[in-house]
Amino acid sequence: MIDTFGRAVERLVDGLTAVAGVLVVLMLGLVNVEVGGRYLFGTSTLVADEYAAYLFVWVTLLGAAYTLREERHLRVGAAVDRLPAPVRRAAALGAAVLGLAVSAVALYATLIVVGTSWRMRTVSIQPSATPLVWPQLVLPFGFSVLCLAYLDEIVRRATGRRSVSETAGTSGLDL
Amino acid sequence: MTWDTAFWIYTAGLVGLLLAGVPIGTAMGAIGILGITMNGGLRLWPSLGDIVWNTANSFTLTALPLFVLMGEIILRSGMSRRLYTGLSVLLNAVPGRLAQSNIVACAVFSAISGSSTATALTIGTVALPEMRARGYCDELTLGTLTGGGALGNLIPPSIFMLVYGAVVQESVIDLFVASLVPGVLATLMFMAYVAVRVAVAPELVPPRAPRHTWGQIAVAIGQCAPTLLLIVSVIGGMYFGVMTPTEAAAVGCGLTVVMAAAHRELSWAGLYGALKTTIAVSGVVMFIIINGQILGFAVVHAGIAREMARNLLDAGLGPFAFFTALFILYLVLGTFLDGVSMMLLTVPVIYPTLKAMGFDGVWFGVILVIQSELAQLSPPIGLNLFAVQSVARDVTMAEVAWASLPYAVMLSVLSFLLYWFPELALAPVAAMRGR
Repeated sequence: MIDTFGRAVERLVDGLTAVAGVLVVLMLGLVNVEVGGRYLFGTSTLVADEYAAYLFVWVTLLGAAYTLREERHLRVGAAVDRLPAPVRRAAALGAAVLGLAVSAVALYATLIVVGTSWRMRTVSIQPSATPLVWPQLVLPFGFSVLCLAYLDEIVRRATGRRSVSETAGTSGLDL
Repeated sequence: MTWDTAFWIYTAGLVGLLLAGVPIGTAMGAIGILGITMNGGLRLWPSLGDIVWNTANSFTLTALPLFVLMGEIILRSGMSRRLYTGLSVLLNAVPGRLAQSNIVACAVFSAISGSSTATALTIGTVALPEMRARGYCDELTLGTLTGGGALGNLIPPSIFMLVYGAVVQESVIDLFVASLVPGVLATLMFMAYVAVRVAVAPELVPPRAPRHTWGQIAVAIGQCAPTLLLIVSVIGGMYFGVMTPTEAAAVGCGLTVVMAAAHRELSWAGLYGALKTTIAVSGVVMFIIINGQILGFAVVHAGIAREMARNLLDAGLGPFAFFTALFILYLVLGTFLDGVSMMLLTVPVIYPTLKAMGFDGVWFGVILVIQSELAQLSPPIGLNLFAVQSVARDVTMAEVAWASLPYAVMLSVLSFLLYWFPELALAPVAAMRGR
């Protein structure tokens, strides 16, 4: 059961990372089209700035769980890394629980933002007048996935299991 | 709760969580949420959603993944190797030769990448084996790599400046232009130091190689040309108002992909690896920025920023004493925090005071970026030290730190030079605005 949950989270994170990669390429293309259009054809997309920013939000939120899984978050290890292994494990478990709590609050708060945009039919102030609920949807979705990733990490640390990627020996190979 | 009680609770909570190994972003978010809850109960929690959206939805910050991707592609293709090889030929007559190539290559790479660690790692990977094979002293090599890497954020474009500009609402282009002269000055100081060092102790470098032919020099210029074209397009595009920083990053990134593809040096696997690193770095930086903004909201809501500014002004500290106190504070913080975290932790409290004392926000950005580079060179967690040690696996962290010390001293001198002569940073900005 626990293994199945871990594998499901792992696959979800991998899939979202691939989607985030495609969105980075889209962002790159969109901004280049804007610059090229402006200087070569004297025209503008009118949406490049706005949509590039939306894409960036999507990239960071879809990649949030990947960043956590790859243990890329910056931390101060100078003190805790000198402590005995059981204390270090307890500290890592505590950090994961705190991460889950912060992500859960962010999930709650961003759900309210999306709900408000939906009810008020809020649109962007740019020429596109994009309904903000669509770009904002990624906020609660990203934080939900991040909560799942933290839950998986808590379970792993509490039971002393390794992650699926660690077991397969693939963790962080290409970073 | 009074502002000073809140200040001490936040400080103690942050220090405790950081020492317990909690990720910096999580610690800032947790203390921010705790502070907001203590001061306003749960009714302020919905505001956190607006903070997250307004922070993340920033066109300025969109440049971040594009600059990271550009640096990653350069790292994974052969561009950095060709640049280094070309520079080593062109700088053959300069005292210190390859050691000077390290610094110039780092400075050039800094002008297309926004990260110090990426700069140290990219040039270090190419330079270290080459210099060891030719018999250069390790201490000289390691210092030029960590010190040269520290130019990464100082010479524009700079991820640090992007974040600072987005947080304090200063123009990113002004910040980039303001850091140009200090960046060049730092490069010249580093090069002069290497030249003097080699003149005093010639045994640090191998005997001079034979002079290169005109043909070899022409090839070397050809090897450096693509990178110089990138610099002209990225920095020139911004300076002359042709492109925004995000557009310059996208155009530079597009050119890099085309150049790497033209040399058949970029595989699909390499591109996907570069994209994954881009996602991870963007995620880390954005996570810290969002949580830093949540903490900043708590700091402002508790009245800490306002009262701290008033108290510091009432204390009657002169500008120089205040600047020196800030320098020492950031030097200490930099020993255990990275530059972006250090900036986000302190700016909500310090920035209002600085403005009230008449300091310029753009000038302070340059000072902060120098302090951030000092943090990259400060043990025990200086990221440049780790980057270079990861390439030179057989040397200790203490050896890398010792080799970096002269460069840290020079950056400190530069910081005080900018205090006495702020026009070094601000005159080019004024010139650009008056154009």
